[in-house]
Amino acid sequence: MNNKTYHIILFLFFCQILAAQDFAGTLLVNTQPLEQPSDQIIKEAGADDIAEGFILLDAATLSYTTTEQNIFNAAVSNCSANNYRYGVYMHAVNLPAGMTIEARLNNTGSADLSGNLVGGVLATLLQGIFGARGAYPRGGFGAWFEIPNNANNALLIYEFVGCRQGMTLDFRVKASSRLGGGIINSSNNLQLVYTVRGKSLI
Amino acid sequence: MKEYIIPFLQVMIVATCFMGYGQETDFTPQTINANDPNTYAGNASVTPIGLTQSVVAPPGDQRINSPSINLQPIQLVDVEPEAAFAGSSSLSNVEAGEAISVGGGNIEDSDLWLNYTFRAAAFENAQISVYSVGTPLPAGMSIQVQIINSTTMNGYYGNNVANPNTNPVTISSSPQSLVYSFSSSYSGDGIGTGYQLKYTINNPGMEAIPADYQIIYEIQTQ
Repeated sequence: MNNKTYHIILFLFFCQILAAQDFAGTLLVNTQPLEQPSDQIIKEAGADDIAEGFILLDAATLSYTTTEQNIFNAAVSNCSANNYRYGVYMHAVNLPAGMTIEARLNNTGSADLSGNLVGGVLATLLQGIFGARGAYPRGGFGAWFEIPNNANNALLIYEFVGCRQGMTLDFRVKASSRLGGGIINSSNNLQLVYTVRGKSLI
Repeated sequence: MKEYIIPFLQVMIVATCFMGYGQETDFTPQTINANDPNTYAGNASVTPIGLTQSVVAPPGDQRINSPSINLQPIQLVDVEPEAAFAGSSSLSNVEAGEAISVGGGNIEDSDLWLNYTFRAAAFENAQISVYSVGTPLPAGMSIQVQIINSTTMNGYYGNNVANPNTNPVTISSSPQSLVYSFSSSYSGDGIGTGYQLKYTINNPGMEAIPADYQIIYEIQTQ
């Protein structure tokens, strides 16, 4: 193989990498029921239960994968090439009055490395820019962030790099005593909205 | 000359890959408009020969979950101030549910406050009843309790105002309503909030209260 051929192959190689930047993302989320444990209620008569709150560990599990179109216009999974940084934002819809929900990253999950041959090279190139594959809690581990009841101000909870599986969130729910007990969502239709946003590059 | 051209192109290609990177720093932006897909759905496009036309944000995604909420019912009632008591002519230090021992004659005390926290199991209302357990009082002796004041300080009375029974209630082994129907709510904790109680003990025979005699305040659902 002469130098010219080598350079043409290298050129096409980078073209392939560039073509691989259309990372259509797929977010999967499983949120557990928000059930208050019987030992996490207010203990002092007269006080509001909102002062106590209850914590649900690993209450939501998130996975994010990407697909791309290769040079043959075929959709392929290419998580190994995806080394971009993403933000996970949350907001609530129909959050009952007298209730707040806070979230924090607990388990950072694991990298999804299913993908193609050039992914490792691209990952190496981009790692210095977006950080190593992983999940990173905003404000450090343990910091809680109150989920707003407003889609216009969905709040960043954490960021991650590349495709990841098994990322979990803890929730801390503070509910006033004036909210009726039992299953109350049937009348309030609470929605938790998870939005993953890729980092802007231009 | 041509030996410089291809390496130059390679450098330019790689530079194009990274052009504009670093426009955002980690953990920014801290809020987005999640109603606008443009804030998270990137629009990178690919030319027929495989070159990207522009380098933009990689697309994101959005999912909605509707988890159920299941809150525990709460029924807590207490009399403040809380302290152990024995042998005083005042009831101000009596803890709800504990044995009472008093001297002879008639005694009045108005320094006790009834606090409660109530969360319904569903949407039922509740009332607070008072009754006694243990050995009955000696003949001729009686204890009355009366709500003489109520306040919402630090509390929340819900849609229904808390309905105090302001009449004197002579305590017996049968539950009697001290606070009528109310919904999920709380009175506030401590002295000066909730219901101010006035105790009147009639004890003309200078009898002792049985050691196991107790006054019970109880939230009862309706």
